[in-house]
Amino acid sequence: MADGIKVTIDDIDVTVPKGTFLIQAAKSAGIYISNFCAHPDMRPFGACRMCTVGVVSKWGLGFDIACATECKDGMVAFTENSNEEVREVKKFIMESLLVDHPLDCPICPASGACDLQNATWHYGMTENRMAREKQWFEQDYLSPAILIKRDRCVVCGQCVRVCDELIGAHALAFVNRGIATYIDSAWGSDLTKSPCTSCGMCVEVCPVGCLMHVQYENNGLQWTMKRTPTTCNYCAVGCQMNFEAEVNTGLIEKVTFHEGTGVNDARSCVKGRYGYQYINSRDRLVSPLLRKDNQFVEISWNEAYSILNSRLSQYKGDQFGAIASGKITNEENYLLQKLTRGLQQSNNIDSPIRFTQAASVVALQDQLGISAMTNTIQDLKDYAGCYFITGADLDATAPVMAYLLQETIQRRKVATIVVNPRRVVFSDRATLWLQIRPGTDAALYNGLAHIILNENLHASGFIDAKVEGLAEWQASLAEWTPERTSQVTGIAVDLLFEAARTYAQGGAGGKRDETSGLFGPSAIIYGTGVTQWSNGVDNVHALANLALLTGNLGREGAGLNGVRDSANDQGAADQGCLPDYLPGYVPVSSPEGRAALETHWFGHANNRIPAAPGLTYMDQFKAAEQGQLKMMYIVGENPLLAGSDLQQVQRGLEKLDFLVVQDLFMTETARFADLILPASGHAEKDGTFTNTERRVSRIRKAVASPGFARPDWKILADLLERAGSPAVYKKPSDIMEEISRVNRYYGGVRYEKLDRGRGYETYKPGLVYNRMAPMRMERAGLQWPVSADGAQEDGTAILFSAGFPTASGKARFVAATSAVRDLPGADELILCVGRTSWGNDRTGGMSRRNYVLDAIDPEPELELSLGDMVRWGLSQGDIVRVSSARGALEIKVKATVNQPDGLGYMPWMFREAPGAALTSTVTDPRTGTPEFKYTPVKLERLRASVSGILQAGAGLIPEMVEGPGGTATAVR
Amino acid sequence: MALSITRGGSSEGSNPGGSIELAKATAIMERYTTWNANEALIPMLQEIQHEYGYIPDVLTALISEQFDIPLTQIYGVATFYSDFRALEQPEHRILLCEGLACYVCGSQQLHRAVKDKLGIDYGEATPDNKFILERANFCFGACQLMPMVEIDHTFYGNVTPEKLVELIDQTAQGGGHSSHE
Repeated sequence: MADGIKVTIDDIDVTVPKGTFLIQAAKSAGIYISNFCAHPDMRPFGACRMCTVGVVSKWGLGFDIACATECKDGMVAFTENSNEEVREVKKFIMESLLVDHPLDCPICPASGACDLQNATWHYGMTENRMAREKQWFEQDYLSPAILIKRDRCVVCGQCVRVCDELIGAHALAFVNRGIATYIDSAWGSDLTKSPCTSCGMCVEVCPVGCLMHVQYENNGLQWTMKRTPTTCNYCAVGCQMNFEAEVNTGLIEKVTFHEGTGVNDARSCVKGRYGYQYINSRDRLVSPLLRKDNQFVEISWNEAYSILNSRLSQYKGDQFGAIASGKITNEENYLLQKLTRGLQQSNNIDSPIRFTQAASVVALQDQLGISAMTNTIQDLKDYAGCYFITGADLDATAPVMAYLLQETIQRRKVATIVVNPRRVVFSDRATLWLQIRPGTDAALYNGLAHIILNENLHASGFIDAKVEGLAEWQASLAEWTPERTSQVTGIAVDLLFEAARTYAQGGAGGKRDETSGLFGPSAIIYGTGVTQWSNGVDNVHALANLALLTGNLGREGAGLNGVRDSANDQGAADQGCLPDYLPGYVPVSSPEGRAALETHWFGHANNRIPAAPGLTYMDQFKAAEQGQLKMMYIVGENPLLAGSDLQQVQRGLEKLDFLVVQDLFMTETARFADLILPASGHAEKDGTFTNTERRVSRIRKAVASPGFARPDWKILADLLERAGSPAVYKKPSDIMEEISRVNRYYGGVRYEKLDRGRGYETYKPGLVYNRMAPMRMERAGLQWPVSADGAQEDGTAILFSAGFPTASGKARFVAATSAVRDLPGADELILCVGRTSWGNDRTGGMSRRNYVLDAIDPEPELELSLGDMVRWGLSQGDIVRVSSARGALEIKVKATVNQPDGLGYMPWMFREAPGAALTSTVTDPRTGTPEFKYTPVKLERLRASVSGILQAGAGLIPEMVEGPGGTATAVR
Repeated sequence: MALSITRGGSSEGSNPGGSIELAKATAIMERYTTWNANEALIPMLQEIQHEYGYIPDVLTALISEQFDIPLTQIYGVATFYSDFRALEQPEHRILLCEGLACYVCGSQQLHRAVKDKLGIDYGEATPDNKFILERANFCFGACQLMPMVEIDHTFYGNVTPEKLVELIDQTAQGGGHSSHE
């Protein structure tokens, strides 16, 4: 650090960046100063005084708190280690804290990981001059996830502050004053009825055992745990976490998160923290199952392999189809792809990215050369001047990313534009919320581009050097005047101007940099609200045009960031689990690409891989129904809930000759299978995930697989070996070794390199809230493109900084058209399907096996505006029949003020009411992505809900109804 | 994000209908819309307390929505200052000072007089919810007029038991101010 500041602590000299606090300086000098209220990511609070140090001034030695004393050049400080007076002060503080603390360590879950316990031991607190009768509190359940035992509290305020500053939920309060202060929710209500997201961060930062996870309350002792660092397998943020498995029971007892570990830096969301229980679930599949006389019977792996082997050789080419998953590793996706292309000679392989970000792959591969998210989350956090968040409810889809971004919005006042027809959590944090009419995204982006060009806010230097096709594209924009855009999108003209200026200038009133001719960086962040349309590709093109127009690609804090859905959605696509791309996004139509891959696999090109693109996810089921596709191999995916046209999926599954499902549980799809293979879960195998930022990070084996379950990679490797594949894989790193040769972006990815963190600079709060001091953070994994050596040896954090890898070496403006949709009839409603809550993940196979997540999000609900509730004469909790042109289902309604009239919003994959049984069959012809966000539906009120909970399968299976002659079974 | 409001268990008892006239509160909030939200909070709570006699939870939720202050922060402020009440208060409040000067000069007798007259002790309210007796937790700063009594924000000095009984009668007949006017 050039402007380093030199301080001496306990006679150790240390140089730190400006704005560092003594406590951090001591840490870098290897001295631990005990404390309760200091947190490296939060403003200093100074509540506990435990970090008292002696600081030498001209008047002699004075006492100061290290957490709030900024380092000055030449400062000399002493900790208790070298100064008896400091030690006495700290002992007195300990005595004060122990007046009421019960010291009930043997029954406290924090025992062994408790700062107060350590300090009590350290200072040998055997007697207390202030002893009196202790206060005592019953433990209190704040929510299904969190409980509190208030007599253990040291009132450090970390829980309140973490909720305010790092999570932005503001769910906890200091109640009362002075010695009577305690922690509670506002008005003592249940936290689930507050903005609390149940992320558990308050418990994580609690230095004592005051706040506790209900789930972990009696989960073993700290010192019996074995820690395994791994990557979370829920959303695409890819948080780094640790599995804590109890050594004697072999069960995972808790999940912890560590400060300073790349990506999430100790932040967690509710799913990552609590949602691991499915691994210990008792209904895991433990043995291969074969359908015999319509019954599943257990068979041995040998039998399973030989059956599968003969079936695989029976159905080759177009008769075979496979579906990969965003929940299995890169290695497993790669092997499934290899099995499909190399062994079965078919391109019929697809992954669930088809339904989320396929539009990005198609649009950006062509327009920019690489289709992945361009920047990293930490980079957006540290450098962006403006966030343009469109079609994404980050708090539901990528919670930790939302937490990190909101933290920056609070600190740096980053201008934030949210485009969403619904009032999502981010709308409240935004400087500008554009409530767009559903389905008019491309029009909005075109209109903004029109304004930017007219006001001369575009980056002409950047465009001249790196982009082509401006003139033709500009001509296509002519019709999108602000007035027409406003008319189509329903957003007022002045808001359009404000949004365009804010985005183009990298925050309102930004100035152009003289040398580069660019404004400050603005980042586009988008989700499925942009892609799940029949013109999804156009929407992405229009967004990319905006980024190109303003020069917001290839630099820090900018970019075009499409947030993926599942943990390894990005990886599945990277490994070629797409019908039209080989690993590394080489088009299957390229003869050289196919030949190269075949050479890697067989030593010579043998034309095994067909030149024509295969069938997409849904087309496979269509082909199955028509009898062309006879065998399917589905790994870690449940199309009967996660597909788009569920009736079509079911018809396809019924017609298949042979269906193999490889999963952890007996899923809805597995019930149709002829052979079920039990797979190992996320905690039971090694491998890598690629998160939304292209970051390849490791998952590690923490516990053994139950029964005869085997890791997916092992099953696939065994099959390939039996079929005579020359390559032999003994462990996942062997597969990664092959991937690094085959996939151009994974060139230098090696396990030993992934394990070795290099670190990078980030910023942490300084003396005042908006001043930040640089701090080093451990790197997690590697971001592709990675090369074995050279400039990209350590991966590439920001794409396109050296130009665009297209054929011409330049990016391209592509004219984007806005689709015209039928308006709903007078008695109809537009149904939009997406994620509604942070508690549920996809089909719920993992998340619904955890009671905390299930308590937060127990059942699907159709959210309706108050106007619509009145229009259909509904009250909260009523059960309605929702019918579209294609199907009908029953669902409970919930009133919301966050939505305009005429729009209904429901979750996608609940088995009680799977939204995809209704949704429009219109798809984007270029991607096959269905139009999940726009289905005209009719509503009909059925009854008030009696039990309060929707019956499983209501509307899809025979159900119990109240009839005049008592209860009867009705069959629809 | 919509806030959901739950009523604390105890406040339900004192306000069985659970209904609150919102017009007065919205009028108060109206006056502070141009203020910095954090600066407006305490005066707003004071006015609400003055108007309603306590701080109803529903109104804090309204303030939170309208001024974009976290509900937890409002709750924290409202509980931090002992002047703010979360429960509906009796109509009239009698505060006796038990500071040194008042204590030596007969606040004990005053205490006994109230006990005899209304049958309530410190912290208790009469069954008809008209009077509450409280011990002043701060000195009124008028020790030369000991013993001091405060009834509904009006201070009385050199109070004798007889005079206190008279004052209570007056207040009961509507002569005094309501405690939350």
